[in-house]
Amino acid sequence: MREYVKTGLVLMMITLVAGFTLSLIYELVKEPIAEAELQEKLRAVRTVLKDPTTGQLIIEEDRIPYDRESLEKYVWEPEGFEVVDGVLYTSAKIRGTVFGPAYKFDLVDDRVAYVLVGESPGYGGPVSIVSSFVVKDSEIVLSGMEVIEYAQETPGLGANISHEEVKDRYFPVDRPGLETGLKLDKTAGVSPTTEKELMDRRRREEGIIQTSDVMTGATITAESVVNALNLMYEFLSEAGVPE
Amino acid sequence: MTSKYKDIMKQGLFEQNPVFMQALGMCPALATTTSAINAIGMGVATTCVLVMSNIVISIIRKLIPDKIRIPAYIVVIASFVTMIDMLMHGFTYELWKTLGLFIPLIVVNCLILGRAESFASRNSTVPAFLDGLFMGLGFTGALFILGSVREILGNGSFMGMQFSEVKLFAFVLPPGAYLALGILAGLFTFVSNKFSNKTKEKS
Repeated sequence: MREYVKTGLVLMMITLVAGFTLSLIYELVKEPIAEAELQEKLRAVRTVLKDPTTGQLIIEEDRIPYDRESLEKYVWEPEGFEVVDGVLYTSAKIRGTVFGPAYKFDLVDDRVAYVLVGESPGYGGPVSIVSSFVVKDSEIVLSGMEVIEYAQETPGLGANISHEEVKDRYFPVDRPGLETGLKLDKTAGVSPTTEKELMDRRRREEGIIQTSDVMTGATITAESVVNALNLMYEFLSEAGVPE
Repeated sequence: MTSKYKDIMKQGLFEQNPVFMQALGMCPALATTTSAINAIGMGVATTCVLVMSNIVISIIRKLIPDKIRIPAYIVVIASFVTMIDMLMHGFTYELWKTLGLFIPLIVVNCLILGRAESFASRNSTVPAFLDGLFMGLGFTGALFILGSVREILGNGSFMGMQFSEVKLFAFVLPPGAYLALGILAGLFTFVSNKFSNKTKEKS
């Protein structure tokens, strides 16, 4: 009996010391983690505010948010939606989450860019993205997408979602493509093409995203980005964008 | 360096190389070596955990009753892994994003538990530290060689720098990992045997 108590106490002491040390380390890294995530988000916002064809910024350099305060100036609160525990929108049809707040940037020529942050389940965990939808009158274009978290995806397979050549396949998409709903070329049952024009047309008009040639063996991760983008478009439609 | 410490170094780096000779820690060795930089990241993270867990386990080895030594080791190892995970999340965010899935899995890397059980729990702090360091460096070196070979053959690049358009894509995928590991382990054993035969002949 005494031996059992002793072994129990020893194990308890070890776990207590471990728990205490971990809590200290957590306190130490809490702020650097929040800062690293904010910097990642700011970098992604800057990336998605670029023209998909020219790569030039679609907003003046000095209006690009560079810290938490300057980002908060662009918060957009659509009517009928509120942020609860960081969640702005979820759907019964599409798995995933649109996180709050959403951001709205007024551009030249009466265009408006809506920047959204969201996630959808990937292979090992959530894949988080930032996207921009540029709206003018009744036109809407998915103009940019950046992956900000894919830490649970398999290195060499799903983690390839962060490669430029893969991300570039997801945009731009015009309204007809967004209305139809984005889908991967595998899901749509079309053969991959090497013709850039055909690939562009399929994406813009039919919402077909070709990844099967640049991202082998990781359909679930590629699909999760498609889901997150479809969810974001659904949210914008319900929020009355475009009018 | 005394001969005992030299022996620990030789064992960790060559004679008992965790990957090529003992075939330990195969999951991260195969999964994270798609590029040289990922391999270094994983190797350094594992070395840190191995060194720290070896030190702590050798310090508390006399306090831990034999019956609960495995759960005690696991608590120590898991704590260090969680620490490394949090530190990487905060300070090396890009690397953490790429390796994120495999960092928590260091807990179940049999190399770390193996060294705790077979070395750290039977030796004093300095040898335990050296064993952790050189086993970790041996592991990192093996991962680096494997990662470099796979990146060069599979992606035509080295440390992210593209130099060739010839890409044997299979080497980036799991089958290529097994192929590269098998060939490299064979080469490593061949060279080690030649080297040790020469040393024996000389002596």
